[in-house]
Amino acid sequence: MKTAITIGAAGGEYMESVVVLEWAATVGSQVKQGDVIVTVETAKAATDIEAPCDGVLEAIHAQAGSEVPVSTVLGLIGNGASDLVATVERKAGDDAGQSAIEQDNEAASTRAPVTGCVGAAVQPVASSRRSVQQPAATPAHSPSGRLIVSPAARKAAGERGIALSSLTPTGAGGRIKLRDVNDHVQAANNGGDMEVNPASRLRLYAAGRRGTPAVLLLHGFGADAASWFPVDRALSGRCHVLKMDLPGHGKSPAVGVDSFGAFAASVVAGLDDLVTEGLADRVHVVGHSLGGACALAMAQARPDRVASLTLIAPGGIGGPVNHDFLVRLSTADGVDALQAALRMMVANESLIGREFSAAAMGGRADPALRMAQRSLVDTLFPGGEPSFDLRDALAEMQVPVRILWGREDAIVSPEALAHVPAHVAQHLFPGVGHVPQLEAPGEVIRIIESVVGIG
Amino acid sequence: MAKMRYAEALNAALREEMERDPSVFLFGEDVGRYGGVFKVSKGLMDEFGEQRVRDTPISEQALTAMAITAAMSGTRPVLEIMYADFLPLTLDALINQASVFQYLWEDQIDMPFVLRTQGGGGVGTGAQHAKSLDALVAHIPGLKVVAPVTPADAKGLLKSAIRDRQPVVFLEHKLLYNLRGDVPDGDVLVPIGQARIVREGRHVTLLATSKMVLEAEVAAEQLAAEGVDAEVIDLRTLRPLDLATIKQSVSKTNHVVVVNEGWKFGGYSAELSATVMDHCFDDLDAPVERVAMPDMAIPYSEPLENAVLPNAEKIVAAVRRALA
Repeated sequence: MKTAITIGAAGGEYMESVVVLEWAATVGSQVKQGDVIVTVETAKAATDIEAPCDGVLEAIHAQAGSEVPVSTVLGLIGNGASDLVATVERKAGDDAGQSAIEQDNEAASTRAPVTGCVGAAVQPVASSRRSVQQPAATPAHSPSGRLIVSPAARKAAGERGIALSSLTPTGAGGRIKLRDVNDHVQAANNGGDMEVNPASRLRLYAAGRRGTPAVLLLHGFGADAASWFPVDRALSGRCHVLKMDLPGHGKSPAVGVDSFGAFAASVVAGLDDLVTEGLADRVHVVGHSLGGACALAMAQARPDRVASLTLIAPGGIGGPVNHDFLVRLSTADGVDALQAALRMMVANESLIGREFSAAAMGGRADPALRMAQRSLVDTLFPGGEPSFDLRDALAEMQVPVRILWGREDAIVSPEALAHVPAHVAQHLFPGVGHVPQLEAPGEVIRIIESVVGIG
Repeated sequence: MAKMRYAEALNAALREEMERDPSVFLFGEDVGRYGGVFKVSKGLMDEFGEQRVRDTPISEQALTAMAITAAMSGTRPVLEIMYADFLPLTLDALINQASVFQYLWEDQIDMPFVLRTQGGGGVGTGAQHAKSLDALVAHIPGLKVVAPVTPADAKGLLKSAIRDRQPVVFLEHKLLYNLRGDVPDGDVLVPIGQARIVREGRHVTLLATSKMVLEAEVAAEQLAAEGVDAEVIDLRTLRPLDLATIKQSVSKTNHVVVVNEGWKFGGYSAELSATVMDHCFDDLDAPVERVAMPDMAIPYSEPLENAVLPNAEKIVAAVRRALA
């Protein structure tokens, strides 16, 4: 049994990442519950992380000096003996929804079976902060089984705390070279920061390396491209991750979107711009909610450009959208109001903390943007009824389609799944609301990777 | 600054050092009346007399022993061994005497002699007159080994070698003697132990010796056309190595191709490769590539000889492998 050392609530709700400053224990040393075991830097302040239990520090995954997403497992505490059973243990009375994940040393996010060690207390990943570290890549191995990595790459990865297995080899014979580490770092640092402002006037983002499978992420109503964290970062190690701010969202203006058709046409133009800019040729599209509807429209309009669809709680394939939510979200003019609206989206409200909401509000500070979105509600979902119907489009789709939906979704009911055609794969997330990529990112990333063919 | 040929630069260095220091003298086969088979000592017998420029019988073993005793006795002999292929005849004197006497006598003696010789292929001189035996002499602790490629370095390094208190093996290349280049006027010395960065680059370091520096420069030009930015380093001194320059370059480029005209197995390229591994392992992004002579006798037939000699084309291929 191993207990994960995580940042937990100490990171603040909306911290994306922390810098590991110092480990107070070395691998192999005994630690006691409550001992300061590692110090991290969160929002410019050093924060001590305590050992969650007694035991032996068996592994350090995040070396001092490395920057890691808040959900990362920093290290593992065990009894000093090897134990490969992955288990999830939910701590009683942990009102932050924080749980300790016990897992195999290497394959945190790739190990499918999650078996409980405390009976019925086992919760699906929705209630846990799963590691979003990338699954093992498939670089070449020496005859003795050692990864083939150049010394410079090995050293650079070690210094940055990057797992060699997360790197994509481009060297002769499958060797991981220094450039692969640099590309990985760049992709992680970018997190989608390469921005393009082409003809469609939509704000486009690219991260990761060209030449790897292209994944286009389309966010939902009221969100923006930044809302894809940590999915985008996890994918950018092995995919070319493309994102856009939908019209009237983020940094994209709402230009003449007086119907869903016009809205979708604008999004399709965004894809055309990605192609024109040489950033994409054929993309795996992942769309959430309104973005899922746009993904379907895109596949219909540009069948040659879309390789697959992964639709997360998509709109427009049956059933109404929670109109109260749409109005409250689009009109929220303060952190409290926004937090209340955002909490409607998730099954576990503790995921939407005040800092998360404050950061989200930061992206919606412009009243014009809120007005535009309020107007979009009436255009796209008058009275909560979608003004468009994509069921036929879904039925005729020739590319692989998956739909992911949270069973507890209070915004768009997953009941629509009962009527989707048989060729569409379905993933139903128990204990998850409208935002599986926030509530169960590890699972969502894994599914996207399997669709893209890198899982 | 004057344009002169490599052989003329060596000649100028000898003349200047003989004028400066009356203890400097030359000897070897055909160095006097004939002026040396490559005309390096041309005119010097007339200028300095038969006492200071001496023709000798054919006995490299005896000549080297003579250089050692003359050096120990307070003179600064410059011995010419006509072909590097004859170096094996000098090895007992070099390994068992020249290189160890300063140690055995607790540094109470100087051993200031220069052994000049020339090696290398490319002109159909066959298996007994075209070898590069750099590794044989660079292997010996207590000897310094230099191998200039430009006329300026030929002159400056020969002057430094003559003034050194340790034995210096001075390796020339038969295809360099007619090479023309700028040579600074006057008493300009090139220090032993200092490499020369011929061309700066970011992607790969070419560590080359002697004539192979010229091949590396040609290769770098070709690579530049492909967008590969090669740094060419002329080691100039084979021993002691200028490690600082090598390390600095490798830390920048992360890729190394070593180029030496000697045999590959146990060769100078092997030493260079191992040295890079010793000092720069964590900077390496690919195995060190070696461009060297295959382990075989050098063919007399020029087409065959050219096929086995290391050259720019083989360097380009090695760079591509390193950067793959």
